[in-house]
Amino acid sequence: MSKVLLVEDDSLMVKMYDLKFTHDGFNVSVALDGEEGLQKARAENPDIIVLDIMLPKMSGTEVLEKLKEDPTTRDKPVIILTNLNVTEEDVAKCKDLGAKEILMKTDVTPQEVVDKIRQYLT
Amino acid sequence: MQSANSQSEKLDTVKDEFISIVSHELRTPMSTIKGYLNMLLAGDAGPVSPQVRDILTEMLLAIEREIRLVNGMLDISRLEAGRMQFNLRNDVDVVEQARLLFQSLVRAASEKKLSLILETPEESLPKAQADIDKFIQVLINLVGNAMKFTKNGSITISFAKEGDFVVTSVSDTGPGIPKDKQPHLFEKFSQASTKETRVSGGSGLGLYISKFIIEKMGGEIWLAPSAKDTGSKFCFSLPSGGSEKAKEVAANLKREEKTDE
Repeated sequence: MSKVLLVEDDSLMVKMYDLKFTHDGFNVSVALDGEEGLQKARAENPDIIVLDIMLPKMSGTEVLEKLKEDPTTRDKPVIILTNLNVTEEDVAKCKDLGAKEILMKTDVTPQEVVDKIRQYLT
Repeated sequence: MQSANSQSEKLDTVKDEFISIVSHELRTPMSTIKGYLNMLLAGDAGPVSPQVRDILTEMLLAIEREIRLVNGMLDISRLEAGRMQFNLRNDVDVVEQARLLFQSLVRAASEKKLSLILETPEESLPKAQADIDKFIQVLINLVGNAMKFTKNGSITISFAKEGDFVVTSVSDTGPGIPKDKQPHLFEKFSQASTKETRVSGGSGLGLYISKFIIEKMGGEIWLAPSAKDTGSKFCFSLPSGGSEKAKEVAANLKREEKTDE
């Protein structure tokens, strides 16, 4: 069973994606802020990371940067899942840092997020 | 005078931040509602009867409209506060950009049984100065509008050179726009008072935003005069790369960015 690490601070969103990912057969681990996300990414060896940008304690861009610096997490696929409020620079930076995909929460269905996860797991 | 200016700038910043926070706060629950509706419709929570499916579909359409409205208002708050960033390039091939977009637009058009035509110009056009993403946003807005209001027939994207400007046009075989509505087309919420908005599901913000964006890039957007019942044709111009107008616009935007810092 593939393990997804979901780094997201909004409880409504966490509950929904947790439900969907679990329903579709993933093992889900949740981190509620950037620091916890980074720590879980290092400790729990997830197969893929779904990362928000606007996060408490450490922004998603910073988390991504640190993940890519660390040899143990460097090769983990990261999907950014965010709301439109982030700046264009944030998005460009995530692309530069090697995020596989940048998805807007209001634009994608939970099924499409799962489809993307499957795409990058193979 | 100086202090009045800085007062009003401060007010703009506060207003801008307020709208930005409010729209983020609105968007999160809306994304959740939309997500759950999609999950229910996909049968993730068990089989769905046709009646329930119809109701869920209506709810989904409503929440999607709400999301568009909030996104539009955020765009407007950024534009009006001068906080929308423009990454101008002076070598934009508008025909090529439209071609890249064409496939996804064709798919949407064929779902509505409309044909979409891309008329490539006979002579090669000069390159335009524009922000590519913004050009695409405006083109999608115009083609999207044409699709909403055209019941059958076709939508045509065409190009022309007019002096120092490159003009992109979107014409359709729809009902056309009544004379009395034409003067208000590019105003905020111009659709809101009409019955069409309920049919089209539009926010009434698209053309206002498009006008703002195009004018910022030194161009104009207009409705071409047409005979009654022959559909409508929207056109927008962009200064050609390297022209006097293009240089002036680039310098202005740069100056605005500087005062922003």
